[in-house]
Amino acid sequence: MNSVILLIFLCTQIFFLRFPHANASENFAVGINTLWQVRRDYGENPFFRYTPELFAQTYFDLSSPVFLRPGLRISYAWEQPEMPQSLGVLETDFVACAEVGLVYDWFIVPSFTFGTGINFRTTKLSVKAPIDADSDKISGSERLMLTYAQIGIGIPIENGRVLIEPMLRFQRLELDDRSWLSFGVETSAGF
Amino acid sequence: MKTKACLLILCGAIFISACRKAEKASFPYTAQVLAFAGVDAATDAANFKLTTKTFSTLRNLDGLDGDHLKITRGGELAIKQINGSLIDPGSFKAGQSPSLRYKISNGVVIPKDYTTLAMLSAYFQFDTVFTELQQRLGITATDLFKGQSSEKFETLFEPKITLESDLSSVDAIIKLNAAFVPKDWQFILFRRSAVEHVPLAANLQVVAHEFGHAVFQRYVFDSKWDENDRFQQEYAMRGLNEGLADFISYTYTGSGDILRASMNFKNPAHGANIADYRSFKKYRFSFAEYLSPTVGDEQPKCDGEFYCIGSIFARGLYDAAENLVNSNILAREQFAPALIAALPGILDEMKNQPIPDNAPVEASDSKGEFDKWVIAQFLNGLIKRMPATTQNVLCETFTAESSFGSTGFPTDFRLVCGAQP
Repeated sequence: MNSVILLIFLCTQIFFLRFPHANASENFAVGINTLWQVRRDYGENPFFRYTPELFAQTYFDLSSPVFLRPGLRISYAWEQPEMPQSLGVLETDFVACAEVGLVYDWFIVPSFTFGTGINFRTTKLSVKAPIDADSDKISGSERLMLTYAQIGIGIPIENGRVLIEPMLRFQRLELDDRSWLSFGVETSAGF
Repeated sequence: MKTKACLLILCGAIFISACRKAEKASFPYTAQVLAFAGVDAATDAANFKLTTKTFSTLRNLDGLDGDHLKITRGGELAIKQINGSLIDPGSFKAGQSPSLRYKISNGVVIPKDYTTLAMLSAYFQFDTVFTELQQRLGITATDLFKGQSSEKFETLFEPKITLESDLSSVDAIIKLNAAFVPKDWQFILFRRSAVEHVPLAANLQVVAHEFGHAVFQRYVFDSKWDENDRFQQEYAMRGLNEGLADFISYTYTGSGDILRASMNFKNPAHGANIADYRSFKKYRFSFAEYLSPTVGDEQPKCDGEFYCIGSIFARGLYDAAENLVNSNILAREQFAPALIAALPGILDEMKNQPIPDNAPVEASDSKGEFDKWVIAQFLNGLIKRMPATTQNVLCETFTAESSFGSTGFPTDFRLVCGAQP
């Protein structure tokens, strides 16, 4: 499923219009991030959780070639770690973030971004025979604060109109220390 | 200006985040856990309930540390050999803090993710075992831990596993198992699997079975681990160890269907249900049938190797206990304590018996003729140490052809039960 989504996204990049990206006083960009969270669900082995993101960014020329890049980001994660058939605690996460980054416009485009947001988590208990639950105190929802620092190396193509940016994110989620690291590839197009 | 606004928002977020504190719970802890909820008398099937329970021996919730058990999360364990649910370990690296995630609601600890639920539930099963130790098995924790440096088992939850040999080591992911490490007095709760139904780590039947191995190690081997002692590794002794562990599981739950609630699927090799062979009350086969080779597509009577010896032994103990109870010779709750009290001394007596000339030089790891000698000597020692009023029933049970019979308990090797003068 994740491979199909990635393939569809990559194919759609062919049809992006030619818009200016960096090298302008103000520019906007939208994009998608194919992200995996490294989450400590199992005792010692990690669980890699696919978490696609959509984002929108704008560029402000601080002092060329350094740009300020604030942005907004949303993501949704639905994948679950392996659990037994008769007992499970299913978590889905919707995240909305605001961020600000510094970008150096060069033949590659390194960036450093700092962000914060809210993780809207829904938790659902799943039980099947031979297990019975006399009540469900586990299911529910909560809002958790998220902060992160992200580094990326952007590869501009189409004269900088499209930016492909492998990234590494170090994050802290309130009351949940399972996942402190994510990695992915962002693809954005300017207009 | 825009940069300052962004930085202000960020600082505010960090401040708000730091202000929110987790609630605290205190001893005795009450939590939502998976608990054993009885047996269906008709089918011998176990039932389970996710419910609120109070821990008796847990002293430190966040550390999952109590009177007789501490659970750590992860860690790294190198394994030289796995014999069913007994492990011969290599090196070991301690795990980390459990890092439980929970909320407190009306004083009850409510898990917020599966791993926390599984760890709390696992601890609760051990808590049940220790709380009912005297009542079920007639032993105290002090006596159980005699010879150990502390009165506490260490338990690794989902550790990283490396399989070691003389030539190499390889990382492995082991699922569908729980184990006891006799050398280090540890329990290992392996990684959960989507093939499981009731998680093995949170199933009292499985936890009590693993605890049964600790009982065997304590009272048969006097808590010692000696890799040069052939009887520690001997195929038939491993089987008897498994049988006692199954019987101890039954003593705690009343169900002889040890595995089905957690592992209920067919062996692809021959289509038989893997849980059937370990269901010692319902699925009956003799030692002679266990030895018989299968013909063509015929399903083996038991393909669990030394576990088959264990099932016959566990069934014999169960049948004898039922017979004694029905004959008003012994109360049901007296049998297990008498059984455990009879274990010390058996091994020394076995070692004093002359080993047959055709016995393997080292401990055997597959079935063979020497199994019969081992089984016979163990039964000799056990039966003569049981209360006199129980010995006739035990003899009748284990000498019956439906049990070990003349094949597994040969008359030539008997010192009790109609031994030759």
